[in-house]
Amino acid sequence: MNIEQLLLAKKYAVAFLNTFEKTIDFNAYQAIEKMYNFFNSNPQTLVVLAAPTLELETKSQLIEKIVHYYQAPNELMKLVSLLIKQQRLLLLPSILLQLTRVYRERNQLVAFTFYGSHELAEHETRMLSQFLEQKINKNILYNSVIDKELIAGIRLKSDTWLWEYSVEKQLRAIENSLH
Amino acid sequence: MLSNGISVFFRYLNFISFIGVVLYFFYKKSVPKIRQHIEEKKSLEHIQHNNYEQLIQKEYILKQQLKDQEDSYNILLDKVRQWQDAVEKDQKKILQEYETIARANKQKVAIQEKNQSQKRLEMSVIPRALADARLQLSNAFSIDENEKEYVHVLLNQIQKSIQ
Repeated sequence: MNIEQLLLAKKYAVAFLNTFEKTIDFNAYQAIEKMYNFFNSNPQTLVVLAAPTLELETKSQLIEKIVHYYQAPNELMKLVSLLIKQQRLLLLPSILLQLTRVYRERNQLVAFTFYGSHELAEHETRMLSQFLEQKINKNILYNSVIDKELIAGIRLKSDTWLWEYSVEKQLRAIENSLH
Repeated sequence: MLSNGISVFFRYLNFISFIGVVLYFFYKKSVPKIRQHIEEKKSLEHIQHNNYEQLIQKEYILKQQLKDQEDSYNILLDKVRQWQDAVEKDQKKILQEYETIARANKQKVAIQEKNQSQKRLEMSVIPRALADARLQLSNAFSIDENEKEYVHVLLNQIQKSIQ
């Protein structure tokens, strides 16, 4: 995606959030994020959406099913209709991504991924979340992932922040100091 | 008695006449020769005197020339010494520059060798050592308790920092 498309997607996202600010709550945000993850992990869906032989009505119905499946706000269908009308349906995944970002910005939220060398318990992730909230003074959204490459340790990563303490990091530091 | 006196008289007269004749011939024949001889001698002496004067003059000129040459030699010698000093200084400077360049080259070569050996080390030994370290650490922490203990200690530290 080039920078122009990115800016355009952000414009759509900002306009959508300005219009439906009251209806987009945290649950809606989570649903939108899930929808984005769906499009991101199933790029073939985009190929279907891009197919010129497929009728616009069918495309719209397909997206509506996804919206309902993820319990995303129905207002999204208005955005989809607009994109279909303006022949910019392929921008939808990017707009969904920008929606999550703009929502987080407006609500002082930062999405982190907690990488652990083993599966982190609920109380551990909560404690890490508190730790980050203290550090960056923002509310933390997180998901937890196992990363064996850490060997032993934890990595807390967002779009703009990174905190890590692991054996792998120490090895990297040694490697960098030797070069 | 008389005759004896006359005889003595004549004897003296004869003797005087003889002396007069001898003196006359001596005066006539020898004196001009002696005079000529004396004049020749005087003339020779004069020539010799002139020669002597000339020789003295020549000697003076030669001495002067010798002195001039000696002065020139001394000036030339000074110049040669100055030139020699300058050349020695130049040679010394060139030698110092050469030594500086040689030292710099030696240092450069030493640094390059060090860099090359460091690079060789980086290219071969370090990646192998790091890979070994990574493998050993992976093995050590593949034991569940070790890895969990490490993370547990880390989480405790974080817990303390937020309290």
